[in-house]
Amino acid sequence: MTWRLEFVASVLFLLGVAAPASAQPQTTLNPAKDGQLPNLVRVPVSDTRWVALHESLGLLAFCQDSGHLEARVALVRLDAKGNPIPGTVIIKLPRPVITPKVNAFAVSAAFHPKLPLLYVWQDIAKLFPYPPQPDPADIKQFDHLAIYNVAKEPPELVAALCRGVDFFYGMQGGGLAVGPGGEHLYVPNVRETKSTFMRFGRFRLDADGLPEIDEKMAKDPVAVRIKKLTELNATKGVVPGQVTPIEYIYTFAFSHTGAGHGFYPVSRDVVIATGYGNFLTWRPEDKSENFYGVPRKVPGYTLLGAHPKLSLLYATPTPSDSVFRMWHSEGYLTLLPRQYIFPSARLTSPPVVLGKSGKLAVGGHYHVYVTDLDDEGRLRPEVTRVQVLNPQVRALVYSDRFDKLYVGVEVSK
Amino acid sequence: MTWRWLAILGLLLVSAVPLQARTITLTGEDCDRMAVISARAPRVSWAAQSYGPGVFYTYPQVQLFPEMAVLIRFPLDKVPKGQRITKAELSVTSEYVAGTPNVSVRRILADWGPGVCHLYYRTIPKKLKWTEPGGRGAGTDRAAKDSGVFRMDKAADYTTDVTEDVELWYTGATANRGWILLIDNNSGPTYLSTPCPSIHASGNRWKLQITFEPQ
Repeated sequence: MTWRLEFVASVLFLLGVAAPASAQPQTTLNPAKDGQLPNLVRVPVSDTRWVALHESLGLLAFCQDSGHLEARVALVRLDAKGNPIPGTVIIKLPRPVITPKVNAFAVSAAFHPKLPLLYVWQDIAKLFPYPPQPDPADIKQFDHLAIYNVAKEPPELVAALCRGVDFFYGMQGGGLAVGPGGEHLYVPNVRETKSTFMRFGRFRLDADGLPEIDEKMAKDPVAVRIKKLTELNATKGVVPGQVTPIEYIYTFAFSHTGAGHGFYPVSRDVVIATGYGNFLTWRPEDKSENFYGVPRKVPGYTLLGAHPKLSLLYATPTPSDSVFRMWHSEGYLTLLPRQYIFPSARLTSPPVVLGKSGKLAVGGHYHVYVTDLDDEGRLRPEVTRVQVLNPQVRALVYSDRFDKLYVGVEVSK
Repeated sequence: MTWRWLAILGLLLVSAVPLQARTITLTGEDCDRMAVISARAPRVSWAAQSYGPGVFYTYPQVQLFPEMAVLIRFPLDKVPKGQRITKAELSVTSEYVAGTPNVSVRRILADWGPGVCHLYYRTIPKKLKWTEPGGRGAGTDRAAKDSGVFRMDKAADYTTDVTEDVELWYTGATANRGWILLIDNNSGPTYLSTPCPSIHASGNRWKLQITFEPQ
């Protein structure tokens, strides 16, 4: 017995002095301490999964999860100081009658930067079958994109587009973004109909914020264009004029999280997107440097945020305990993603940079986590967590104008 | 009784060797800077593999052609202070070789960083050009002499001695800006397993093995 113990002790000693195993480059932050964030504004809207902000219109558009037959967006108006005004308007998105009845949900939303238009991407709570099977007839009537005029009260549906087999249904995610000048609308989950491979794309928008199909149609009055778009949508389909290349193994391997989880339009013709296991950069007008990606170590439905001053992106693969920081140079992804781990956290929102105070916030299970950023956008190790009434904080957005961080919270019952 | 103590003494003697000299292995997963640059995509930092005109990706391979280069930096903070580097070897895996490419390994002299590409060694906070595009300027962009050469003629693991470089970096005699690897005899290509970690693969086919002992 003594001999065995001596032998085991010797072996353990040997193991103890052996060379350490290599580890992934990452930074583990300190355990979060409970605290407060004075400019955190809790907005009582239930089941939020995305939020878009239009600062000059003073509007928050919260996408709600799949608890209803019709997808819903909760529109919250802000006063001159950025405080929510009571009287949330619920927009119910159009949908065909699907049998058996399947709930729909608003996946993501984006405002036009110059026009009072809200773009909403919706989907249904019925997973796309993989390997693919013939589409149910009524699902072919489902329009994924709804465009609303939010200058009207209540908001008025301008057009419902992106119908049918050119888009995946039953995706759990997919971002939506309008380019900085309002020239393009980036849409997720575009389906290559012959192969059923995934990709994303963009519509060129006309001066009225409508998808521009051809130059001839662009000369028509807006009412005529809407009518023609609606007719086209019901027949040939309205599809993005530009789509990413197909790469179905590593870049756009099939996933129910969709293709194009988040978009950050860097400039008119450069966009950075997140995918299941990567960052992607797309320059649709550039033939020699059109598309490339950089992988991450952590997969998932990955939500994207950007630093307002530095060429840095932040991404949260959800759910996970990590936020990734990634450099870009005029949209060219560069170097390696840096992983920051929030111990014991289950993060579910995009990372949001609070420009005025130089902080980064990210939502999780009943908390918003906040950390300072240094002058190179690195996360400081000290983390404060602020309690909020939401088991899964997904809708989080910052207003630089009002210096407020808005978070969707459950309605207290 | 005697044989038992002899065995324990033997084990302790074996254990004493690592106390004197230790070897650690760093992999692509330990790296803090990486890029694959190419004349075909002069602004792209990750032109590791081409899927078609203008379309690039990072894994599963670095398909290294003569107009390309791999830039990689292994931080040395896992080597404790007060050591002497006795040996360092860099290893890569080639999964395909055409011709007989010589992949040279040289220290990078330029302070490369965000935005590194064929034209620039960094673009942030401002654009700074390589002396020669692709980081090929000898004595300016990269060291004047090779630190090692992988002479490739088949798919295999290749190793080269880089003791002098690691010693220079560890002692602080020169800044650790990593290595640039490129084909310098206009042969190839060679398809290297990627050093870039992903959800599909680790970067552990790229290895830097360092042996050191107390000074």
